[in-house]
Amino acid sequence: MNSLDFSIVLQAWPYLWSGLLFSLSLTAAAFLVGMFLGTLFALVQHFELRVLSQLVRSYVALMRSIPLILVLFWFFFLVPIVLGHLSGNGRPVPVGATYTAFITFGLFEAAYYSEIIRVGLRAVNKGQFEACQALALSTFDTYRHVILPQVFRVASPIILSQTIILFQDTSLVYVLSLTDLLGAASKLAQLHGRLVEMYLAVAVVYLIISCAASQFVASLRKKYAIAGARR
Amino acid sequence: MFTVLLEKTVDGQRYIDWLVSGLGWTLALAFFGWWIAFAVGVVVGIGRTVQNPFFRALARLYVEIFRNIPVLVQMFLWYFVLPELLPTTMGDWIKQIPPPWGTFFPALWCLGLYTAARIAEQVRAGIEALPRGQDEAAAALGLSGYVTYRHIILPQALRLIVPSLTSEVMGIYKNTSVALTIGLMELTAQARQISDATFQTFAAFGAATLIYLALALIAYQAMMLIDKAVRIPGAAPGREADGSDFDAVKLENPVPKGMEIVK
Amino acid sequence: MQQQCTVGPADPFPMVIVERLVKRFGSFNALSDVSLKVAKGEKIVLCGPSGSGKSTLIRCINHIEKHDSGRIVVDGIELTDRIRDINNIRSEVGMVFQSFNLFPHLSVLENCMLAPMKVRGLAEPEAHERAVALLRKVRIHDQAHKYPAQLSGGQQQRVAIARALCMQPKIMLFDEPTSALDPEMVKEVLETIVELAQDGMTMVCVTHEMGFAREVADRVVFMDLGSIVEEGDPSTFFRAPNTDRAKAFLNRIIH
Ligand SMILES: Nc1ncnc2c1ncn2[C@@H]1O[C@H](COP(=O)(O)OP(=O)(O)OP(=O)(O)O)[C@@H](O)[C@H]1O
Ligand SMILES: [Mg+2]
Repeated sequence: MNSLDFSIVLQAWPYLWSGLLFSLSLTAAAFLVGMFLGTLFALVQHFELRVLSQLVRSYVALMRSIPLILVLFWFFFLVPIVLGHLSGNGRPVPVGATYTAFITFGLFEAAYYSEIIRVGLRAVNKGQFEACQALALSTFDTYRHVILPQVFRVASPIILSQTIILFQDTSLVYVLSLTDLLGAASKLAQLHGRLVEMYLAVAVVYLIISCAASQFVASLRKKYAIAGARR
Repeated sequence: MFTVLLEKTVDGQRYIDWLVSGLGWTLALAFFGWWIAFAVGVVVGIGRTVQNPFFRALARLYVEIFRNIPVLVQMFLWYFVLPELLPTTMGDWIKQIPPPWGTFFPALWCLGLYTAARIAEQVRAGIEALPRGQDEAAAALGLSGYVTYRHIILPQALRLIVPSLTSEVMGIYKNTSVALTIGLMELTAQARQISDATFQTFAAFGAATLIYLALALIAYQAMMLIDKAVRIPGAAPGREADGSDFDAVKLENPVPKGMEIVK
Repeated sequence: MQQQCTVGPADPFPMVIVERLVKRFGSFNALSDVSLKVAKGEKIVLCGPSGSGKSTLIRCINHIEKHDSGRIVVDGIELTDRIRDINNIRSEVGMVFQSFNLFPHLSVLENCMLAPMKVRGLAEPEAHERAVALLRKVRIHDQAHKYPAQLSGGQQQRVAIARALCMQPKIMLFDEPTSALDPEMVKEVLETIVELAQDGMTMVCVTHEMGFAREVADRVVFMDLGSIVEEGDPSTFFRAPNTDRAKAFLNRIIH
């Protein structure tokens, strides 16, 4: 058992910090894209638009059935090709691992968020829709001002829990050799031969952030539980 | 499209043999990992609900630690860090375990104990969802704590959570792919190896994707069968087995009825 | 066709015309051949046993349920499948539900302002002014900034009435507005509706509150098994109904 020397972690902190910032921005971007697309997907299924909802259902089932790492590999391979086709000349466009990661996580998380929102939509009381109809609200206003706000509210603890999982999952960009928190630690660990200290430090950072976030979600849950009880 | 899989590899096999061997490791990890996860998960889940504050705190600590560190980081902790922290002789012994097993076992502990934390939370939710009267009825009969859990609480709670365990089954087989980061040649790793060797990326990833899809389907169907088999006659059908992310929604709001606009 | 309509007071331009209305749920006839006219300013109380189709009838009038055949004309607009017609009719028809159906994430005031702004295109100050005025009318303006979950059932139902009134409807439909309420709150809601009736609002109200029916109804319409069985002025109907079915029903709700 070698003696541990955590001073290396302090020295490396600026580099780890930039890695952590990358992890967080990847999380934030994937959250925004995923929630936007996920809401769209959920609505498509909720309205049972014929072909489209079948497509979305298959996409969601596919994303939920295969490992995220395989999805990352797929997108790493496919995105340049697809962009090439879109840009017209048919030649693959080299987009780089960073953009691939952003695109993949956004599209991947959309599948998970859409399931949460879809169930949330089903849980909205029928009377809410009827009240909107009786007030002659348009479908758009009904969803924009009445239904979706309620869904987001009810589902917010679960949406946030999913986002904590998303934050942890961003560590998988390691397979694309990106410099997220884990990537940064791993590169330094190999450089200095200090795997134990680096990986322990990274574990602690993830643990603290995720725990704090879970604690926040739990308090949110409690708050809503009380609000619900009063009804 | 998949004909490339039948071609010979440099080592005299066919590429499809690589896939099959990868599938073997994936299944082994998922299967044995599941039983570790289930056993530990049930114990920790019970621990979360017992009276004794020490055991409760311990169980909570377990859950928080294993749930809040990314599974990939946990993989590295088991593989790279643990042998260094153990006494030198033991650490060296671990490091000498020959290739597939040297990565298989860390991956197995990692996935098993990680998934256990998630199962523990399901078990706890299941136990807490039981009506309070069950506890009291057992106490009124003079049953001991152990007997109450073993014969009254657990059988009901486990039945209740079969649908949400489905997503944990799906979770563990998907997470097996994380083992490729420490060098275990499971299914995804083999697919990438084939892609690198043949440049037939579509075929390689496509084949792996189809296999994962089939596994998902089998896991799902199996859990549905189990759900049906263990259901108490006359009890309401369990919640739709479609994933823990939103099982929580349903646990929290059992009241509002579903709404289909156009049906 | 026309002569089969049961007609109320002679009125060349009724507010609502329902003619030979049929509504099916699968193979089940919830409404079979129902005809009804509601004159301007008329107050109708609909009653009948559970499952007789009262809710279905008034829900058809603003197209929350889609009828299968027959005609519905509201204030001269015929209800067709065209979304324009549906929305035109809906914005002239106010509806109050048994279970209030307030929007839980919006304050009382916002509940009342949403539709006038989004449907009628009112600017915020006007919508606000109107909402405050109508909340005052139902005597709940001091709760304007609370959320629905913070109000009692009776208060919620009065907010629901104010919310419907904010659209300045020409007719109000009530579907058992007091049957989800604790007894001591029934009165405050009924009083609100009575006041509304005294202001000359046209209304169709599903209710089993006989005192209320006696006080405000111009006509009581009794339904059973998806059709109108009997109708008449309240004093006659409650004292001496013509049909056995109405007698049986009245016996049941009195005891
Ligand atoms: N969405 C629906 N699907 C199928 N059947 C329905 C539906 N809505 C109503 N019905 C049926 O139509 C019939 C009339 O229902 P309706 O709600 O109009 O009765 P009601 O007179 O309002 O009764 P209540 O006094 O209980 O409110 C009932 O038999 C009911 O079961
Ligand atoms: Mg009704």
